[in-house]
Amino acid sequence: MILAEWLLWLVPLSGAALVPVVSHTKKEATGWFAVAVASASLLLSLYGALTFSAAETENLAVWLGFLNVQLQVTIDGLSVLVSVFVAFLSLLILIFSLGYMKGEGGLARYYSLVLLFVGSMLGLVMAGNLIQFYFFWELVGLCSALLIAFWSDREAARRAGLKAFVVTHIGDASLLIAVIVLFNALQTTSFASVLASVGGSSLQGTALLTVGVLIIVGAMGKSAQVPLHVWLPDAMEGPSTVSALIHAATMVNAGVYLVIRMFPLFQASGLLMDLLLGVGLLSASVGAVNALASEDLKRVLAYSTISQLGLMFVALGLGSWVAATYHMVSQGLFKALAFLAAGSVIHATGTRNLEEMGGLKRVMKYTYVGFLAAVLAMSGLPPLIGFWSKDAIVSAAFAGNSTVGFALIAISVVTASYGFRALIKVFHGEPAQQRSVRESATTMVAPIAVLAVSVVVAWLALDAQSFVNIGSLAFPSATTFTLSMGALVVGALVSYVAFSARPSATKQLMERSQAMVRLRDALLEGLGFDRLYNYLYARGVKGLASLTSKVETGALGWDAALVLLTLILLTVLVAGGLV
Amino acid sequence: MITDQTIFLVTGTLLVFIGIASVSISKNLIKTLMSFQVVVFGVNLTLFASGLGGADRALSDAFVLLSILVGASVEAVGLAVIVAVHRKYGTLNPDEIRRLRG
Repeated sequence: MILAEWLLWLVPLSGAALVPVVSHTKKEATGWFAVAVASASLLLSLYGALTFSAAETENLAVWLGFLNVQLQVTIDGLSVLVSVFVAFLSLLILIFSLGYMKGEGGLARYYSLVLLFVGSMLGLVMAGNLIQFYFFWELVGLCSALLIAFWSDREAARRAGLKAFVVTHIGDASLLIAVIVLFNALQTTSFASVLASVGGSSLQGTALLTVGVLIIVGAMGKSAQVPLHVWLPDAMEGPSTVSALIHAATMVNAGVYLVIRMFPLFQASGLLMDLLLGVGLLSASVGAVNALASEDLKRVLAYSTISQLGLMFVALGLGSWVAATYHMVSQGLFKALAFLAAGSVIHATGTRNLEEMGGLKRVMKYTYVGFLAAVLAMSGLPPLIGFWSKDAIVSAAFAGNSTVGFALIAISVVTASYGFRALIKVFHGEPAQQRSVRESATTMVAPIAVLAVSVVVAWLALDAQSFVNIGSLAFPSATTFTLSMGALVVGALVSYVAFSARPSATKQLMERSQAMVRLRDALLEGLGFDRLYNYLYARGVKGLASLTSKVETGALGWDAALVLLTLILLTVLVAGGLV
Repeated sequence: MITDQTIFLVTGTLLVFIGIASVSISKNLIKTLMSFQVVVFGVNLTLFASGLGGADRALSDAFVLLSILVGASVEAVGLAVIVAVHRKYGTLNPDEIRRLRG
């Protein structure tokens, strides 16, 4: 019995319950307590990784007997690797929070929710069956919504939290249906038994397709894939640390992780693989072009996450789950770095608007180096971690379908371009505001430094297979390497010319050309997805609401009587055996 | 032939529907609460009657006693809420309270 695989998620979950107690006895210690809990969790997951020998499923006790559900954990290369990665990022983000959240109100709530968030994600990663997985899946969604709305005195934050909750629940409902269908077909929800039955008599053809599509929709909701991505850009209303958690360590990885965990099920059907590929390509391109236009630093990063998650779906659609896993880890590292650096900038300047920043390179040196490392990793400069994982996906594309490969190269150009655009607008050029800006506190700079170093050296641990052996990272072929380096250079050059060398020419172009103005407005609006949903909501849900409001009038006595009568009707129906 | 059980059952059912009817028309929260209690009494009586002549009467009686106990607590809480409502709004008419709302 490897205790660490249980404790690594049970410790943060119990820590979440203890935070209010700690906060009550010694207020200043709240943050440090959370950091201590996260450190314990990281140590446990590291211990689990170092003692890992063979894949197995471990049962603790019967949880829900009537559903044939055990409390169980899956121990394999995937869960071990991802648990270490999640615990590592969470610890750094919590340390960053010590400085970033200093002086805010409601810190007990903040740290408690963050620990619950991290514990749920780790529980989800280790879960051995779909019921347990779904339980944590919902908890992750709840925590993210509550944390997005953390500054609940702001209207925008409350709306963003609610939006995240509602939109991701479209996916959640789909996943729940998939779990029910699977249980009805197989009488079990354990990952091992489900995957063993793929292609068998009870799970093939249409049934397999239905379950696969439902799971993909579930993953799309959590992992913010088009058209269920609209919650992610709005989620920027939360604190930057929460954004870093959601984008790098927890929430959005859950969907990709689910698909990787159940990958044999998707591989059994060419249609499902094509669906994954299509969704991925769509999200990767929509996210990338939106990131190019956004004028809010955090929204740039949010759209970039959508795009990077799209790349993971592409990798899955191409059949390379190893590349998807590595890209999940590498995206987590450089996106956490980017968000912490952005948080440091926002903390110092008090704005998120790119136009109001500039010239911060001189005053915020460490933050600058951190953000630079994040952008370079995202654009795929060797030997940074992003290069290995992204080129693994591009190589897989050229090996299978070269059209997809060229699409990925085009997306890489845009990726490098929006990355450098943000970098130039924030850190280069002339300072846009008068107030004096200083580098952030040590507790904020230290996690940025650690992440910057790990973005540069993490490939050593992954490539050498010394850590966890799930598959190696190969050096891409000469053609792939040339193409992706070309994409990096072209993207960076475009941004350099447009925003650093000749910003006035860009401005003129934007003002003179009607088409460009229209394009920018469309992109700033997020390509109209929100408008579409508002329209559907106004037509559909509000219509239904006005229909039911004729019955449920709101008069107390009438409504109460209605409830009682319905109860009686139901009782009669059940007693009569009619339902 | 009309047995005691039938009488109790019919009375209980009548009480339930009378209670529901008066819940739906009462203009005073105290009366609403009283009407709810009438519903509960009707249910209790029906439960008691359905146990009559059965093999395990003690069980149904126990449930009726439990229900009476719970009903009393619900009544107390409901009255407390009504007192609070009256202090806040100065009226017990649900329609007026609705109009006063934000």
